[in-house]
Amino acid sequence: MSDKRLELKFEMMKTAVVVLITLVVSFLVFLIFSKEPVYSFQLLLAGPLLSIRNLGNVIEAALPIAFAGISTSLLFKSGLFNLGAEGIFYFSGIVATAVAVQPLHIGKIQLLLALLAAALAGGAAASISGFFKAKYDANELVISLMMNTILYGFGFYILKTKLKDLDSVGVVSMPFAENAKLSTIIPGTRISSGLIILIVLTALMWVLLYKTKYGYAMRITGYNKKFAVYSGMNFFVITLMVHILSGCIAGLGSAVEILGISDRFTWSALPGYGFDGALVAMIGRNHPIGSVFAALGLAYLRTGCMITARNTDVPSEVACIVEITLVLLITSDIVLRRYKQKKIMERGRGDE
Amino acid sequence: MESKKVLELYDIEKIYGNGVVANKEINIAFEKNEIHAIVGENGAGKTTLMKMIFGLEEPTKGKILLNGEEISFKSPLDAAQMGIGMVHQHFMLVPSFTILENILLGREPASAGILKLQKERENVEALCREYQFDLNLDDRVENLNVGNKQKVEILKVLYQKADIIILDEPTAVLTPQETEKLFQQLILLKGMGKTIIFISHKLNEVKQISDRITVLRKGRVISTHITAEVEAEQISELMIGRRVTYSYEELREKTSGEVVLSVEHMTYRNKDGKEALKDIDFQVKAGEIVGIVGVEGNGQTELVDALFGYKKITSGAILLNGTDISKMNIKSRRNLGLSYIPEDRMVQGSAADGNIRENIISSFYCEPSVSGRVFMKNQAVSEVTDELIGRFDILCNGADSKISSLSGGNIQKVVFARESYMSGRLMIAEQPTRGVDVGSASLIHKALIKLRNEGTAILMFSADLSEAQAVCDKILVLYSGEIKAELYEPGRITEKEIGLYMLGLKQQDKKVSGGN
Repeated sequence: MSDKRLELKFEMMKTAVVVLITLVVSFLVFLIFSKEPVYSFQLLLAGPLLSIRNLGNVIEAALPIAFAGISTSLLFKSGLFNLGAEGIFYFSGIVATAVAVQPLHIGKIQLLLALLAAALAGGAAASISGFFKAKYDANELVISLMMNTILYGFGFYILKTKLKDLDSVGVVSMPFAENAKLSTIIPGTRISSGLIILIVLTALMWVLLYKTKYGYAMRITGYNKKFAVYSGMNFFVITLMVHILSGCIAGLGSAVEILGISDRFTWSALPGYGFDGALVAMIGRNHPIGSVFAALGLAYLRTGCMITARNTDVPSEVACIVEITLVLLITSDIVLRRYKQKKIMERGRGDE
Repeated sequence: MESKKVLELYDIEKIYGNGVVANKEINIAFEKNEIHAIVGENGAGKTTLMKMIFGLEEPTKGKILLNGEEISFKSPLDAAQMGIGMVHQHFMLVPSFTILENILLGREPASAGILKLQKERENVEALCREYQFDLNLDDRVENLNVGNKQKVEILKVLYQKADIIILDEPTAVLTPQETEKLFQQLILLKGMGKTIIFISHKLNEVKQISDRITVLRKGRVISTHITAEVEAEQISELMIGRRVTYSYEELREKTSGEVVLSVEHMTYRNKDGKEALKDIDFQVKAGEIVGIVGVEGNGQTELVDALFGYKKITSGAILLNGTDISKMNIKSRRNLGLSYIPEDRMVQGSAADGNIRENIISSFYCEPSVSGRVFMKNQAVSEVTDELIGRFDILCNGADSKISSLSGGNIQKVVFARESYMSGRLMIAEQPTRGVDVGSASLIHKALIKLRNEGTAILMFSADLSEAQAVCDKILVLYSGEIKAELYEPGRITEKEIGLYMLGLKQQDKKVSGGN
């Protein structure tokens, strides 16, 4: 156990150092831009804790990012660098909307239908890039980025031609049926029952990855694809399945987001959750639980920035610097890890 | 013909950043009008030496004189400017370009940014005539056969006005007829004042074409000879040298078993259409270790890949316990009792970022002993891991140690422990002790013999003859994709004799016993 615990401790320490450096840099930036840097900085750090509403904002903002993070972490864990959650979020949102706006009168089953349809649509969309990766070893990053644009275009077309509320000025959908919406579970906030779905899903994914033989095969493929093939694992099936599962989770996350906090579909551009998901997956070391905590952290930071920008002389653009510093530091760590891995490979080949 | 030194190497030494000594005490003088062969086994330091001459690597110590002046290259571009050209083993050509475009690549004639390729056409055509290259400059390289692609490479080097031409294993990809043509070309070039450095481990070719031979072993120059004055056998002895000898006679129990692996008239054609394996026919019985030896590049890799399932064979059959596995995937083959210790333990054999527990079950993770229908039996996995760590004496901090924290020898033990755990019917062991210290090597040898005594059929590929002789019951010699000899009681045959088969200098007509 000692090695494993040491490793975990080291990883946590590394994350803590990264966060610390970020905070120091942010404070220096605040010193330049603010007349009251200490107060602004306090607000950035503690703002989200000041009221139950603020705290609610954090969780609310974390929800979609966490879904996208789990979705992306499964791909990353399997060695697949796919950023397709972005387009799936948009497209699955449209699919969920298409179900949610119908006057079905079937009670809460409509909500279940909407969630299910969104998840299936996400899985189907992801299976396209998954298939090309599995069958032809096409670069999944390129394909997924192209798919993002395609899915957005297709989704927006459906929104404009089929779902648009003609009484409204902007391009927004017709309102959702009451029965298709997720209920609020904590009074005084907008936190929906999507939180429960997230908690259950996180636990399920942890079990899948670390307790089942499928998860084992995924992890081995992620470590070293050639080793997995050599061991007799089916790269085609694993790659396709991971893509589909990841797409389903992103699709579900999208439905939870729009049916949880809005009355109608209003996105006229890609929402950015997919890329946030990739970010939190990296911060969370591709671990589902890690990704959720990273999503909470990111949401906390953003809420803090928002509160600071609203209440002090620090412009919201400056607050963005905090987030960017964090991203830079984390990616630099990943680059170094690659270098370290290369050195290890060289050493392991021979004692001579 | 007057001989004149053009390129001299004095006391060249190359030590890589990780402490590996690739070359040491290298002293060679290459002369004008000569074909100078550099021979040595794999890992003898030939490639590093050529990289230093060609500017891809810088020597750590020593000096290089070109026409009497000391030089130091920072890049291949410097070397090319000084008249040193290299024809790589794997061609560096753009397939969709024509021959002319390939030759001018990197030094395209242009005016005001507009390509004027045709301006140089006459010069290239003149070169073709001068050196008797029969090529149509407008053909696309992708439509050429291998021999002509090589001609383009040589022509390109000549166009860059090279006086010293390095050829890295030029005949490895050629048919005998193409080789003959290449040799004529090389002799012509030599006559026109060029210096040709010819790297090879095919001794008969070296003997035929070269004027002088330099032998490398373990990174050092052993000796330089005038080709006409030495025999190929002598050279082969110098290449091999003395090695660690192993003896396991006392461990070997008498076994007699049924045929487990039967390869029948197997042929494999690679994607270039070359027959890398020709009519391979052999059997491995239970309780028998059969060794495959040969100079690298004579079909060993293809044979392993065909048996394990990476490559689909062109014709013939592979029978494992009577079932033809030649069309099955890796998992099905493994399920029938095939296990495999791969040559490169870091690329195929392990996941460096994973821990021992994850690595040691990868080839049998679906078995009922460690996994249910869905859930892994993590308790059982831990028990298996701890047991194997103990049995194979793997030096580590416990089952959670990462593979990357282990030494090469211990990583190899992890691979071996995994592949032998399911006590399969047939094990393929490819260079099982390469890059492993002597102690670990001996432990792996003993474990192989133990498996053999228990009735596993083992097919071992080894580049270390003394290892093959000590461990195997029978040795098959591969030479240019064919089995040239089947040798029983290999311990009683001299290394020298096996060497003759390996170099294609001798061929067995009928199967003879090496013993009495």
